[in-house]
Amino acid sequence: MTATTTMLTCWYCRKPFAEDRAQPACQACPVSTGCRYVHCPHCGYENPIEPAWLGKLKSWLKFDEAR
Amino acid sequence: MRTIPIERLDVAQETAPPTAVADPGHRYVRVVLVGSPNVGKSSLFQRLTGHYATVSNYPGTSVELTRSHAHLGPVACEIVDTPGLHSLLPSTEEERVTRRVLLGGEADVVVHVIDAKNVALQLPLTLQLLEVGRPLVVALNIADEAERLGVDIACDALAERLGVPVVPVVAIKGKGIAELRQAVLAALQTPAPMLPEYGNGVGQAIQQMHGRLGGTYAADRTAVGALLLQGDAEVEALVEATEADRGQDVKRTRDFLVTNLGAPAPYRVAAERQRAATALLQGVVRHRTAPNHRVADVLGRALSRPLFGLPALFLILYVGLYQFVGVFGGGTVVGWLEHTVFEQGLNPLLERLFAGIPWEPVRALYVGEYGLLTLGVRYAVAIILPIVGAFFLFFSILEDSGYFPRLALLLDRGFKQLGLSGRAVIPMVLGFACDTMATMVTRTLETRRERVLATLLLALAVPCSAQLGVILALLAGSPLALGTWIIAITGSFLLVGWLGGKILPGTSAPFQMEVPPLRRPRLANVLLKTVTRMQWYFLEVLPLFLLASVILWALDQTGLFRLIVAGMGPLLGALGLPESTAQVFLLGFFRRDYGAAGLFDLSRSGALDAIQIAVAAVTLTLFVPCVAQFLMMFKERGPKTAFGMLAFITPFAFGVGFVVNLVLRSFV
Repeated sequence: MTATTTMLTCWYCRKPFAEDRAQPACQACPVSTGCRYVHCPHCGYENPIEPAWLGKLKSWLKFDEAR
Repeated sequence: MRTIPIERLDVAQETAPPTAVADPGHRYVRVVLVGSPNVGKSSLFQRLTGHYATVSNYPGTSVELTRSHAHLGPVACEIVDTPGLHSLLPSTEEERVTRRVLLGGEADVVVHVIDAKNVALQLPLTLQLLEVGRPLVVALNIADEAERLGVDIACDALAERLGVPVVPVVAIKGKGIAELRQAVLAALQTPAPMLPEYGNGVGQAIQQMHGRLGGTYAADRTAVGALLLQGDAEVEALVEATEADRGQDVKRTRDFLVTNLGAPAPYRVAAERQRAATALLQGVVRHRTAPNHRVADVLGRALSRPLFGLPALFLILYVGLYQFVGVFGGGTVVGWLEHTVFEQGLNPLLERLFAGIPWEPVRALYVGEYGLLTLGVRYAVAIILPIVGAFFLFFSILEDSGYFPRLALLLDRGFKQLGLSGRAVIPMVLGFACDTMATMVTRTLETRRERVLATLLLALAVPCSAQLGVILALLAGSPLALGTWIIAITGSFLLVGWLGGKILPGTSAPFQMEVPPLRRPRLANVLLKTVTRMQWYFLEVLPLFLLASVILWALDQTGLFRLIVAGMGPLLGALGLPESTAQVFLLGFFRRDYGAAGLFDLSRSGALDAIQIAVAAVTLTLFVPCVAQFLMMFKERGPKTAFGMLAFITPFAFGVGFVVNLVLRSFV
């Protein structure tokens, strides 16, 4: 299996993880279609996926979240 | 070892965008990040590559490798993040995969990522990586923490002794990354690193194995020989396949050397590596008494201890939740939106717009008592959004500062009394944002007892952000109602948690977690998190509010609503509440926040006195979870547990409401 994925930083423990490695909690969710949250594989915290327009704005502003 | 001249490499323009396409022909320089678990490999990977990565299973396994392309100066590279590795003698599938990457010759440069705080423990792996014979760079990560803890490492001296570059970095802050990139480029140009020297017969034994091996291996024969000596089955099979006729000879030599070493070979080799590592670090690493008086460190520790932590928690809740979310968000902002924007601006406009519709039911669908615009949109935009926005802003400030892990440590002891651990703080904190999602997060708790207890407490006594904000805004003007609500909800949480901890079988799991440093929240981070949460919340809430409005409109038009209200009449009468509050409980079952908004609206119209507000707020907070949360409970804990909780929560909520009404009517 190969997939291009986004690297995220957990908002709770601040550890980075690939979006694909987030806990597969969505299967249990009744509103899983179009879910906008991922769970950190390190601590289980629920992180919202940032909207595409914010991602573009961040790259345009060269904003670095981890700093 | 291969030395790759820069001229032969794919030279990309600095401006060329990195590509995430896999590289079957290996045209790029492949840089492999290796290190023990939790040393910051992924942080470094992210720092070197950026936002996107390709995750793929290593062939024949379920272990994933993360790859991405980047440019180190003019050189196009593929950076590979590998699973954590303690030693080249693997004990897990993940370690085995990382070793295969190393011994399979996939790496043009290996970057050994070391936690600078524990360099002595991780240097034996560096020595093993030297044995592999690939260009090696040592990245001493988290160097700032090490320095603050009083660990001084003379990187130049260590680099000289190892014969490879040693670069201090702080991956999470992006410090030392430029130097690391330079070191990786330089490593490509340098000859093979020196092999480590071992004493006590181990070095000689490895050398003899090296001399006996005649085949071609992707890694240096020193690593192969050492692993063979340590009895690694996979390497033994590789040697047998590679050496063919010489296989038996190699095996005899290995058996002879192992017998000569006396003690078990894996132990002798590992002990000698550790001794060599300790000798290498003599005079290189200096431990001074760490002053560690940085304000953030002192404050961070104090926040997780009861003496300072609990008063600080109450102050945070008072200023953040009560004053900011309740008084400012729920009072000032909602007041402005309701009066100025809706009552003076939008409502007259809408009434004029829909006045032309001759059919009353159709007009009511849009601008009636339960209309899409007058109820659904107004609740979502004028009441819920400002309160939730204020809550998310407050929540993001705490989140970005690193306060929540400290709260987990602070509450760990108290939670143990309830049969939970500090780990349960994550779902509890998330419950204040949304109980449905928080119920799903209870699956991260280690024991079934903890999962059931946390699910029950979330459904019973943890109000979601909008509900909490609306209720705080509602109660802000009445100290009696606010005090009653706090006592009733906190008391219910503690009582049910304590009883649950006593009744439910099993034990709570021990709690350990790595606490990130406390920091001043960054405005940009806080705004980013707040806007992200608000966008998803609004997109989720608006359709549901509109749907609920349509259902209420249909119930109203068919007369069913009046029947339901009449049916609930006796129950509400026992609580001392007027019939109009039936609507609030109906709305609350669709969504907690919808019910709270209904109560807010009812209270503002002057239909309730202070005692009725307190009773309704307590009952509504404890009342059955909304439909989505109940479905999640059903999914996560199973039908028996979910219905059992529902059967407990409903009479409990009305029972507490009844007692609160009785007590307040008797004494006030």
